[in-house]
Amino acid sequence: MIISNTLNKFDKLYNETYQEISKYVVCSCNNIDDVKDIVQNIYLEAYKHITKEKNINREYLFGIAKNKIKDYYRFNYKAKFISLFSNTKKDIELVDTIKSDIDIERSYFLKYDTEKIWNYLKRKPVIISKIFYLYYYLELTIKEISKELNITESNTKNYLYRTLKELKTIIGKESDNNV
Amino acid sequence: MSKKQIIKDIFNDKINKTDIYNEVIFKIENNNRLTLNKILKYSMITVLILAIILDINYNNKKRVEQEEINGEKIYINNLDNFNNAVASIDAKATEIDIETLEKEQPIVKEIKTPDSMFITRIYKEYIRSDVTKDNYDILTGYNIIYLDSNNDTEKLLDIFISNNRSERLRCIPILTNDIKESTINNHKIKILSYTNSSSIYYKTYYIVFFKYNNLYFDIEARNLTEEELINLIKSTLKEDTNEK
Repeated sequence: MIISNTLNKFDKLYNETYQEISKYVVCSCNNIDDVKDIVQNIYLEAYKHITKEKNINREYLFGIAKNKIKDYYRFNYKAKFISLFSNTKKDIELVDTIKSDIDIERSYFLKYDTEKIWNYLKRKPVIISKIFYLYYYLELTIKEISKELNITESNTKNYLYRTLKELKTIIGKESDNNV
Repeated sequence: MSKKQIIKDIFNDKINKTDIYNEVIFKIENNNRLTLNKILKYSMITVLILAIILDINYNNKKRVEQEEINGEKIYINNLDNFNNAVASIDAKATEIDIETLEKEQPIVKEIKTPDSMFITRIYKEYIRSDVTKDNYDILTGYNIIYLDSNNDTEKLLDIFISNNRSERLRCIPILTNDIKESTINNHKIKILSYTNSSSIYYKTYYIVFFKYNNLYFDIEARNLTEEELINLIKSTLKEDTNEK
């Protein structure tokens, strides 16, 4: 049985920290598919600490996150630890400056294609799914992404552009046939 | 819908905040149920092991042969079904050298084995004080293994010495309560034998238990003659001491 007071504390912590924690895990993971499991493990551990009346703040939670990532990859991979970027918000480039003639919008209406995009991203080197996540989901600029992942801006653009082009080959042609 | 939104939605679907939250809550609620199940599981394993031991005890037949070897009254208890291992041994063996052995167990210098036999390996055996942890921290005893320099005889001697265990760990337990005891140099000894008639190499297998100088001995001998075995035991047990 979950005690309601503990659950309230947990809910508050979860809502306040989820975005940062998931971002940290995405940047540190070796496979985008692992993110969900790792984030779950982090918050499970956080819950245990809350039940033991420990005071968990943001820094403490990141300590748990670091350990959980280490534990997760202990026998398989060496985890890459990426430093957190600062919280100061800059103007986000919402305008898509990368040229792409993929009409994903048309293909989106086929659920099959979203799965295909996801599976495709999963199979690529993990840096690509990290870039996609940071660029599309968190709407970071190319500059911020390159700083976060410790790669050059031109590399970041290349990864994005090349992958979008490849996606066109996989999705675009089939969309043409199906619509 | 912009392509940014599309890809954003994909990530939102695959790494979904609500889904993760629900999974965490589900696991927390489930964990309380699993703790009780673990207790039941360990209890059942203990009961199963006890049942196996009792079953083996019931099936062990102890026919006794009396012999007189070098003036000593020796009872050789027969052991049937010795080859049918029923359990695994949870222990760890660490190899040591003979100098370390003689330092820690000086009595081994007294043991007289057949001339052609030599020590090939010596182990210290450990078990776990806590079965839920991976730490083998309790020393059960010393294993000294002898081979014959003449390979054709297939002789083997395995002497287990312990400060605290009357028997070594085995994958098939031997209950010694109703074994007829021999007497050598006024010491009580339990001797069992098993004959493997299905093998062309192994003839007789002896197992010997005794306690001497506050040490327990558990000796397994393969293809040694009875005389060799008794001489080995006598070399270890000095006549002045009278222990069971």
